[in-house]
Amino acid sequence: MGIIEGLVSGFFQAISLEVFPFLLVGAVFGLLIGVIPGLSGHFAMAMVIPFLYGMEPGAGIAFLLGAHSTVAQGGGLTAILFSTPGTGQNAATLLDGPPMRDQGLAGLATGAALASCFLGAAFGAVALALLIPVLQQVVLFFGPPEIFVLAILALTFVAVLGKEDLTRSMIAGLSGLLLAMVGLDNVTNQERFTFGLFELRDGLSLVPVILGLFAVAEMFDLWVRRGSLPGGLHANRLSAKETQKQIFQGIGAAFKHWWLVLRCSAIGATMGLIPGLGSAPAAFVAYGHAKQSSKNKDTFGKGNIEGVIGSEAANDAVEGGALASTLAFGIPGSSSMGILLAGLFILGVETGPNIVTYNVDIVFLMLFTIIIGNLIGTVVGLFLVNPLSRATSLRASILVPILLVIVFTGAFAVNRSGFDIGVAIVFGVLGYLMKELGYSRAALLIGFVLGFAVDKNLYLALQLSGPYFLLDPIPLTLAIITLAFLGYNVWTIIRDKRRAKDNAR
Amino acid sequence: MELYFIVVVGLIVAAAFISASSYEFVSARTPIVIMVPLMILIGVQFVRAKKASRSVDVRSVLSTVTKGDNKTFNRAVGFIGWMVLLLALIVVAGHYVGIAALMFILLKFVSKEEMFFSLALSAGVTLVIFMLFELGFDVELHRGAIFKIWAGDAGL
Repeated sequence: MGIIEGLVSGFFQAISLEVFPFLLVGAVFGLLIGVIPGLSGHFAMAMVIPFLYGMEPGAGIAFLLGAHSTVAQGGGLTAILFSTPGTGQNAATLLDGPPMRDQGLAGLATGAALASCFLGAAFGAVALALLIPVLQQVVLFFGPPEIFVLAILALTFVAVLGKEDLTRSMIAGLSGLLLAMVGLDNVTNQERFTFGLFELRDGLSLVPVILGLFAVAEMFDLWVRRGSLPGGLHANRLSAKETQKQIFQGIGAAFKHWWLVLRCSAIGATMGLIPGLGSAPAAFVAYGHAKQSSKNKDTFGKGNIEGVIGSEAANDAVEGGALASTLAFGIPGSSSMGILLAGLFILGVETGPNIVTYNVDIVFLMLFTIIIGNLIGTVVGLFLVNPLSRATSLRASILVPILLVIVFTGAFAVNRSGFDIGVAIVFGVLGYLMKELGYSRAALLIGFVLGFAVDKNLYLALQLSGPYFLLDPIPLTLAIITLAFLGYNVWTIIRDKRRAKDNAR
Repeated sequence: MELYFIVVVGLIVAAAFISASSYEFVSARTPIVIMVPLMILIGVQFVRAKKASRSVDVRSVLSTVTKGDNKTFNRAVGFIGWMVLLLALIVVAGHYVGIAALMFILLKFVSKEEMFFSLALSAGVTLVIFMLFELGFDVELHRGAIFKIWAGDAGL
C-alpha cells in the first residue's frame, strides 16, 4: 500500500462510525484517568487491554491510543490546578503552572497546556508520518540477528536512561526476559518453568501481567497511602465564566508562541525515538530550552506561560517518535509502548517491517487517532475543567474497591480463567514491591514483551549465521553501541562515587 | 526490605537455572544466556543491599513488623488479604456475588461509608460490569463453583 493511499485510508478509518466512538470513549477515559493523581497512562492503557479481545483492529487501536493520548492532557490540568501532576510526565508543568494559578491565571495556563498538548501531538504524528519512507528502507536491513541485538540495545537504554538505579533496572529487564521464557518452547516442545501447571503451558498471559504490574500495584499504593490523594481537597476552584474566558486566551497564547511549540515538539519527537527516555525528561529538556531561548528568563518558575507551553508540547510530541521504533522494529521504548505492543498482539496486528511496508494505513490510523484523540481531549478539557477536577477529590478508600473489581474482571475476561486473577495478584504485589524498592517496572514489562522476540530471533540468527552472526556489520555496530553505552554509564557511576568519597574526605 | 526481596529473587532464579540445565540444549540456551548476567547482577545488588542494611537495626524492624506496629506493612498485608478473599469469593460464589460482596465489605466496614451509599455503589458497579462484559462484549463471567456444581459442571 502506498503512503498517500495509506494516509487517506487511515484518516477515513479513524473518522468512521466503527472506529470513532471507541476513540471518543477512549479519549474521555484517558482524560479522566490523567486527572486522577497516582493513575498514569500505563494504568489507562492496562485497563483498556482486556476489552480489546473481540474488537476489530481499527476500533481496538483507536480505543487504546485514544486513552493513552489524552492522559497527559488530564495530568496537565491537575498539575496546574492542584500542583499535583496526574502523571509523571507533567512534572515539568509544575514549575510554572501553579505559580500562574496563584496569580489568578489558572484558565490561561490550562488553555495553553491543552492547546500545546494537541499541537505537540500533531507535530509528533506528522514527524512519524515523514519518517515512514525512511523506516520502509531501514527495516529492509533488519533480519533476526539485527532484531535480537536491537532488542538488547533497547532494553539497555531503558535500564540506563530510566529514573531508577542501573543495577536494579538491569535486574528488572533481565527478569522480564526470563518471565517470557515460561511455557512451551515452540521449537522443541519442551515445557520451561511451568512447575507442571497446565495454565502456564502457553506462558504467562500478557494482560494479567500488565494489569498486575501497573493497575493492581497502583491500587496497592493508593490503599496503603489511604485517603491521601493529594490536592483535590484544597484546590482553588475557578468560576466557570472566568475559566472559559482565560482558557480561550490560553489557546490563543499557544498559537501565538507557535515557534516555541514547534521547537519543543521537535525536542519531544526526537527524544521519543530514543528507547527508555520517556516523556518526563523530554518535558524538562524542552522546559530548559524554552527558558534559555526566552526574553523573560527571570520570570520562569514564577508563572511564565512559555514554561507551560514548552513542557506540555514536548510531552505529547514524544509519542510520535516512540511509535516509530515500536512499529517499525517491534521494539517498545517505554512501558506505554510495551502495553501498546501487547495490545497490537491481541488485535492480531503484526509490527515490524510488514506494518510500515504493507499496512501503512494502520500506522496512519494510529497517527490520526493520536491527533483526533488529543483534539477531543482539548475540546472536552475546555468545557469540563471544573467538573473533571472534582475527580481528584474522590477518596482512595472509594476509588480502590471500584477499580480493583474492574481490574480483576478484566484479568478474568481475557482467558476466562481464575488463574489469571491469581497472576494479576502476584504481579500486583511484585509491582508494588518494585515501585517501593526502586526497581523499574517499565524495564520488566519491556523485557517481558521483548522476550518472545529475543528467544525467536536468537534461535533464527543462530540457525541462519551460526554464532558469528554478531560479527555481521549491523549487529556488530549495535552490540558495540550497547557495550559502549553501558560501559560509559558504569564508568560515570564509579567516577561520581569516587568524587563523592573524595569530597567527603 | 530490599535484602529479603533480592534473596527471594535470587533463590527463584537459582531454581530456574537448575531447572533449565535439565532442558534440551536449544530450549535451555536463551534462558541461560539471560540468567548468567542476571545472577551476577543479583549478586552485586545483594552486596549493595547488605551494605546499606548495616546501618539498619534489622531485629528492631522485624520486631516492629511482627508486633503489628508497622502501619504501612499492616495495610499492605491487609490489601493482599482482601485480594485473595476476592479471588476466593469469585471462585466459590461467582464473579458478580464476589465483586459485589467485597466492594460492600470494603466500603461499609473498612472505609466506614454509609450503608445506603455502600450498597448502591456495590450494586451499581456490579450492574455496570454485567452490562459491559456480558451484554457489551459477550463475555460470560464465572458463575461460581456452587452454581456450577448444582448445574452439573465443574472447574474455573
